[in-house]
Amino acid sequence: MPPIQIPIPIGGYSEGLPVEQQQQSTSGYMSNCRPRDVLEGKLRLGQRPGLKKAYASQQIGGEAKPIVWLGSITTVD
Amino acid sequence: MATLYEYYDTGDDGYSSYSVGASYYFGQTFTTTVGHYISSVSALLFRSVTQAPGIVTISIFATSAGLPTGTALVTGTTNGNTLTTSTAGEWRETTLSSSYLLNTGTKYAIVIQPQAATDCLRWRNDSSSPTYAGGNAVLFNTIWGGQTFDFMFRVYGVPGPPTDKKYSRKLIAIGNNEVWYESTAGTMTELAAANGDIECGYPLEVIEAYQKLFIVNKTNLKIADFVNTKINTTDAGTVVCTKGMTLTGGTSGASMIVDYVDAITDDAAMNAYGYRTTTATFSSDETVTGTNSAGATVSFATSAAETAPPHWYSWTVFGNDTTTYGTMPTSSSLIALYRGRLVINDNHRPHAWYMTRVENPWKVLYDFSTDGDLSAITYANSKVGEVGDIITALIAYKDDLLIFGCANSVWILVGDPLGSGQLAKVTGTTGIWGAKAWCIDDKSNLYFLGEDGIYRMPISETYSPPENISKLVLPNLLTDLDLDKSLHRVTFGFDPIKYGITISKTLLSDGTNTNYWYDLTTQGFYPESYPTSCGIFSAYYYPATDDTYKKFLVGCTDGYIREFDNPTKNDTTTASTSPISSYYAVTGKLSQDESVEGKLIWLRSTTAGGASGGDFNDTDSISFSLYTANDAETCLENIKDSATAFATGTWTGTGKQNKNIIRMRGCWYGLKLNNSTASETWGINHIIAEVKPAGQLR
Repeated sequence: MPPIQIPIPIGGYSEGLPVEQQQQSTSGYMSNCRPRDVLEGKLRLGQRPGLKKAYASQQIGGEAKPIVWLGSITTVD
Repeated sequence: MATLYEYYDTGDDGYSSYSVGASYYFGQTFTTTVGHYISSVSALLFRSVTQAPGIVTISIFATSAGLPTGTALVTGTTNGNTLTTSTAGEWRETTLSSSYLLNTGTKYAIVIQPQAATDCLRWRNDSSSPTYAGGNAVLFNTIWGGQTFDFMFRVYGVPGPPTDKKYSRKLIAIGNNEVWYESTAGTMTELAAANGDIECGYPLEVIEAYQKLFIVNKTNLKIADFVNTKINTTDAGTVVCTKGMTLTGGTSGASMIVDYVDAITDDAAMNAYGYRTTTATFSSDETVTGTNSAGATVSFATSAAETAPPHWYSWTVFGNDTTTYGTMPTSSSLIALYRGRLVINDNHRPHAWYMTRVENPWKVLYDFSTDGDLSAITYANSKVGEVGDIITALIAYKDDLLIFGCANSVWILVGDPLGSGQLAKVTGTTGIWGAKAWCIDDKSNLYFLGEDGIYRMPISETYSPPENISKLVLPNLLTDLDLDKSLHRVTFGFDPIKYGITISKTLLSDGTNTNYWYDLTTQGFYPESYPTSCGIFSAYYYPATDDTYKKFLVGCTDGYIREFDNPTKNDTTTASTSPISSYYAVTGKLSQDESVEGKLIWLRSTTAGGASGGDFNDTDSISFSLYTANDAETCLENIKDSATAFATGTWTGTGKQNKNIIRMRGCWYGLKLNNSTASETWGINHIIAEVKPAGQLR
């Protein structure tokens, strides 16, 4: 008997059907996975990318208060 | 005809002489403000009375660390023997052998070397109070050395080849009642004038329009102006300014096109904001004049020199003249830009909307007789009327459509409400949860959190009702999220690089979060959790001018801007890092016959990375746990409950792993993969197992 393929849930999380009828390529138990891996950017399940501070680690407002809006402005040089 | 570009030609108070020749010479660095061809250089020189310089060579060099480097880019010569011997010097212009293109914003050096190796040549300088900002004097004696004075020089040339108009984008971040902007690429600076002038505890929305940010924050209606020059006066005069008129300084010759003034009353102080069209700048105590739209002459005296942008001021109607320009709503928290109009809501009239005049954000008066189809307009004088539901989100899509997200419905305005625009109800079965609970992808689909899940709605004039895309896979999403507008913030953000949507529910008080990544390639949902300090309050794909900074960014609980970074294997918290706990589980049958058990003999995986090292990046370790049960639900439940696994192991290498001998008997298997180790990440290619029949289910 040839080996069986253990499915990899690249289709993400699903809890809409009974576990026995789990949608193909989905998982009923998943966290912090994404379908495009961080190693090569391939469509291959893996751990999500980490959250890294941007902008020279500058703390907006100088203290631990939420950044409520992010956007940009375009100006003529 | 040659144009004078870079120069420092006043303030000379002395001179430098040098025992010049093959080993000693002097120079002056300068920085181009615009790219141009250099054709000649003039320097304020004189020669020794007793020693003749001979032929003097003028060269242009590139610089490194502020000093001349390499070989000359272009040279010219002049007869030094004909220079004056007067210590006042003479401006000797030397034509270069060919014109040479100097790049914008680049530092170059003028180097002067006489033929004679004697103390024969003098160059006038300013050593007492040198002010040239683009460079300084340099002297060569074995090696180049920078000096603290400036030589007198003029650089002439002709324009370089034409370049495209240049624009710059600046990132904007708002938090802790402060507005920060990207002053140089990668560096954020506070717009100090805004400090404390907004309240981040209130709903706050911003739109970019006309090189300004228009901010609605309940009663705080503000503008951050990144384009205009400001001049002010203590007396606005009797004739009022109007938008679009030109003001000219009588002394400076500076001119600006008026965009906005904050007062029009005679004897009252006035700030005037406009786009300066000259290189000359407005000075203090000069008379500024212009002709307003009525043909009358405006005249006032400046009380200070002009102020460069950015500026921060209250968003009022033009000149605070409510008679001519209308009255702004006193409290607003939603804003959009649509067909050149700013659209805002009125918190005191939850169904109402206001649109400013086209191309004039400072006029809200319905004035059809003056402005025609461009007139400002409101729900009250539009044929389309009120929306009829509480507006929760304003979403403009190009200039084609304006979507009113409401508490219980979604409406769409096609066209201009003063023309043939039509307002239609797209759906009455769902609304849009909040001002940030939506985003638009690259294929003109609107995604939003609605009544019973996450919806997708194609945006088009032939609109179709939104489709619930989470219903099948996340049937209990709204119940599970247990949302409360007073406690939570819901943020959607489209990431065009990783090609998906980040959907975040964040507890306002401490950043506790529940998140989903919706992948637009697989159209699947992927649950995610972040440290509380990284809870998402805002999200934005920043299309920076500099490609280095083109990123999907999130604004977090702790005041830091973050990015999802592929090489980063931990989450960076406020002062440390936190490992990412990632896992998934799948279940499957060990036997196709419900009454027969199977036996999983061995398991083998192929992990990401190919051979260890090499071209492909390698996975870190992946732990697995195997479970068995007579039914799938029990199997998954055991995994979720962290029951004791039948077998566990860790795949530590890359590529095809050795077989894990298991010999596990049962009807169903459950396999969990996980990694929660600091500074590790993983990827999996595939997993296979050998399964054999094991006999009747007991």
